Amino acid sequence: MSEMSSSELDPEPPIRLHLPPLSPSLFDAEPSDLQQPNGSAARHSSDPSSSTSSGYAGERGSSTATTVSQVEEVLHNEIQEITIHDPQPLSHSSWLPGKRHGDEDDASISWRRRKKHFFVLSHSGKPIYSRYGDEHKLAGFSATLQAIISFVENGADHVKLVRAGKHQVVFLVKGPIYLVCICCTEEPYESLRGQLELIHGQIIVILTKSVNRCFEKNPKFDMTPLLGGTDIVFSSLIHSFSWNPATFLHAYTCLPLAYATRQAAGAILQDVADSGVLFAILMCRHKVISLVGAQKASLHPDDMLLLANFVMSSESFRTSEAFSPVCLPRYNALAFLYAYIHFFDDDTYLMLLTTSSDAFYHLKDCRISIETVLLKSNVLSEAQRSLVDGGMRVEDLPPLPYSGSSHLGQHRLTSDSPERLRESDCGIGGAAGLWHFIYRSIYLDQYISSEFSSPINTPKQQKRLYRAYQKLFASMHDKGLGPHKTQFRRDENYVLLCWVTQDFELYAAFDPLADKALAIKTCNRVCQWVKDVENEIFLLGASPFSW
Amino acid sequence: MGCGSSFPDRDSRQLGRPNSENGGGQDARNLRVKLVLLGDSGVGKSCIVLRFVRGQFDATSKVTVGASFLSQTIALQDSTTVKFEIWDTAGQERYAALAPLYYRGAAVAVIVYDITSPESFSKAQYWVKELQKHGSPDIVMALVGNKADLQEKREVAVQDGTDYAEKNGMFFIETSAKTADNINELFEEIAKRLPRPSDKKTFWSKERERPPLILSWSLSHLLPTNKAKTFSKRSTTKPPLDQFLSLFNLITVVSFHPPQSSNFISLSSNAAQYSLSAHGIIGGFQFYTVILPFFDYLPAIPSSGFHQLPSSS
Amino acid sequence: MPSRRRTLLKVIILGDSGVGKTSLMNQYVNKKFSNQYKATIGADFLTKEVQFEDRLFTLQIWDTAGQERFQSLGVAFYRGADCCVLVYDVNSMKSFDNLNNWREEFLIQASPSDPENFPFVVIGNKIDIDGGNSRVVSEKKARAWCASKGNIPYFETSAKEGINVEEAFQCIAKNALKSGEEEELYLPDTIDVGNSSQPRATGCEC
Repeated sequence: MSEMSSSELDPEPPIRLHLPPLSPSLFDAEPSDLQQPNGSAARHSSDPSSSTSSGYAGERGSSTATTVSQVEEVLHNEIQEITIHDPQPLSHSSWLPGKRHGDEDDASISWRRRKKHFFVLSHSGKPIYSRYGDEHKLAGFSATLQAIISFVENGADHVKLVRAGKHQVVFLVKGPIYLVCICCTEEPYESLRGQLELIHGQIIVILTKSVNRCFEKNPKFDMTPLLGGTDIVFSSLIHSFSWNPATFLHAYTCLPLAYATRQAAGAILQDVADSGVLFAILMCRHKVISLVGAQKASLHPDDMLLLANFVMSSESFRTSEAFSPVCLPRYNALAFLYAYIHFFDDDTYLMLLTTSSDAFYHLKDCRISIETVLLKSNVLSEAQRSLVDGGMRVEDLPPLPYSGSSHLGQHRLTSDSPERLRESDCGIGGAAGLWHFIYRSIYLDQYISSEFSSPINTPKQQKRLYRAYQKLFASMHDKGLGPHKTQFRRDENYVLLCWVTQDFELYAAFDPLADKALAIKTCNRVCQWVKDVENEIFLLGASPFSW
Repeated sequence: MGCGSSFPDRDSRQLGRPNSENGGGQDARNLRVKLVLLGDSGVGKSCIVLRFVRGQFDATSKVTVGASFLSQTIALQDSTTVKFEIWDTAGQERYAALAPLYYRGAAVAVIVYDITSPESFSKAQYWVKELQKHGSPDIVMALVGNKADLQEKREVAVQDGTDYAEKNGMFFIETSAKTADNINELFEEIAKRLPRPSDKKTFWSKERERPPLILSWSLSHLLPTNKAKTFSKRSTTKPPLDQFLSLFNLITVVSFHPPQSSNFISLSSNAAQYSLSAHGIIGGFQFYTVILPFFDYLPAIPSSGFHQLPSSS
Repeated sequence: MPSRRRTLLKVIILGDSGVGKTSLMNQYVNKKFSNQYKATIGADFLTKEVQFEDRLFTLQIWDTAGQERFQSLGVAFYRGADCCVLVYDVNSMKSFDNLNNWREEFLIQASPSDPENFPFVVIGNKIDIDGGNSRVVSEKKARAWCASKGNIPYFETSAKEGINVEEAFQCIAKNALKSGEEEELYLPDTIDVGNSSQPRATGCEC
């Protein structure tokens, strides 16, 4: 135990970006986790003494052993960032939900090579959830994690982060529930910690915080059975860490829709909310069409993210209308609300939240009247159309001296059109080499992300860009250094530009060869464009997000 | 009990019309029944329901969250119809404590186990005990051994199911949602066993062994038009007979009052129980809602002559 | 498939340094024995899946370091233990005398809800040494101590020869399972205005 020197318990966030605003080319080479060819990367553990006494050394059959004092070495040597042989998901649509590799344990080489592990365990070291592998087979590993946490706590301290080579081990203690992330993805500590917070939030959505009472009464309590059948909810949340910017922006996004269409949906939801519904939320996949809260009730974007993830990943909701207890951690973590859930089609669904356990028939009536209005106002077909058409495309960015009202897609040409107009100074993407942007309205708690287009058109590239944004977000919000107002970075992959004001945050990615002055100018154009079309991309008006 | 909240919660415009969801169509020939499925997770509750309601079978198991609601109407040979309003509950352990939310007021409970899993059979017995303790006293219970197509993996003998069902006054059947074996038979048999509202003249069915248990009742918002006085009462015991009778009379008066479009009486049910309510103006007294005795179970509730009397007709 | 509920049992092994805790565990889990002595540093953790009365469960075995300097592993370490195994060396009186300290230490640190009935198992190890000639703690003495502490089950084992190890752990599993039987019920609250029917406590006794 004594080997665990204080240097590994670095209380500081691991990634520091001492970048003065608008200073180009100070950005270090963007670390990439994609460069390792399959299986060919050499293992670092050339140190011959490293694993002889480790519990990993021999074949153990179904049993495994781990030693606390060796954990640092284990982390360093045993988990490699090699892309292993099973095919990585190629696109979001081919991503298969649910637990994979359930047969693995910590003795499996494949398990040790996974790039990003998430563990949930109880304060007595009993496993609750593991992203990969069988929880019970990983009981020894869970015990190790608990031992590390409690060892540090015995010294009246808290372990937040352990760095071991390329690996980071991030700990989050939530009462009797411990959450741990072990990864070599080079994500900032703040992001990983935020992801653990969301996983904990998802547990609360499913069980409420009253599960803590079970541990108070009985430290032996085994929580795993209570989470039966929810692997899919957690795996889909973890998957969303790599494609859904809401997981680090703490904001939600709307489905782009004509103002009148969204208004029509909002009006009928408002009617329903006035009849005793706490929240009425109409969503299309992870995007909001409209939402309404009862007076004084406020909905946190994280709650919405977790609720939408719960509903979208649970297949049974698509089969028929349902009435299920759910908990909104930021609204009231201690108790269940009841959710009436109905899918109008594969993508669009309604969630009516109430405090009344016998409101089902009332909510069903509400749904029927909502459905009537949605059909009459073509909301459902418009939503489908918006899904197909997408929202803002960098290619459509209007020029600056710009007059008159704008609508989404107004200037849009079909993407396969040979006459497609492009600005002369860039081969691909939008003006000035603009590839992508995210605009987050601070007042609205909403963000809009431009559609992905060439050259960022594979999920892998998208994930890499989001990771870069994540870093940018973390460094912009670093309390120690910040607050920053602008940041300009250039590396071999992108030029990244971030601009934070009181009203909004803009994250933009450009061609790595983009001209800085032009890029800044383009950002101004993006902001103007967002303002011009805000009626269509944001849910405006009385926000239920009033805290 | 949700008596106080079930009506005031509702939109006022619902008061004037027969509630399509709750009150409609209840007579001796057209029954509406709340049915709840209970059982361990993975025994095939959803598969049974989807086979019955949609004729579908999907081998990939989809874990139910909370409870799904589906309905299906069947016609019996005696030309009566039964509409099953089915609560397909999640078998996961975390929902066990919340199960009363779904089985409260259910007229039928279908308890399912998997014939290849003794564990699910003992879970079924747990649900039987739970319903005997906390379910409606008149609940019709069916014990279902599902996955009967997996004979070679059978671990619960037919006899065990039969014996247990017999001992507990349940009806027993083995089904296969996969092959559709016995699925329709299950629901038809349930339909046949439902108590019928056979007596059209009296409030209490003569066949009943005892009068309906009045769990709670309330009279709310009785407002004389000139006095803003609210009389409201809730009770979990039987109201004194005289009060009950006067309410009863009130209902009767409204029912037979000269046609007035605003007067109505309806029998309604929500997830929990059944209630009578009335609304109208009689002799200068305007009363918005009278919520009458709540019964925790339905079967013998009033005959067609009594409920749903739109006074305008 | 219906949920095959698997149970996880946390088993803590305590005893003086060198009495053979790690060897017992290795014999049980891996069916291996090494004569080489390696002191456990901090703690070792092993996992073993066991079938018992048609039920599948997992033993999570916490093998602790017996040395003085690692003794204070703290409350967190013992928290939520389902069973505690006290090991001594039948050839060492001191290791036997210390059983009491280990037991006390465990009860203080773990503070189980019902200390009187907390499942302990006592193991007298190394009965193979010198054909039993160097033995200093008699079985009678050990059994008497176990009886005085609330009839703790007692086993004499040889981790080296694999004698009685399986039996001892079977008993450990059985006792741990028994103590886990009174299950805590998860009773979530609901925000339910104007509705008095809160979810009831419904114990699952099947």
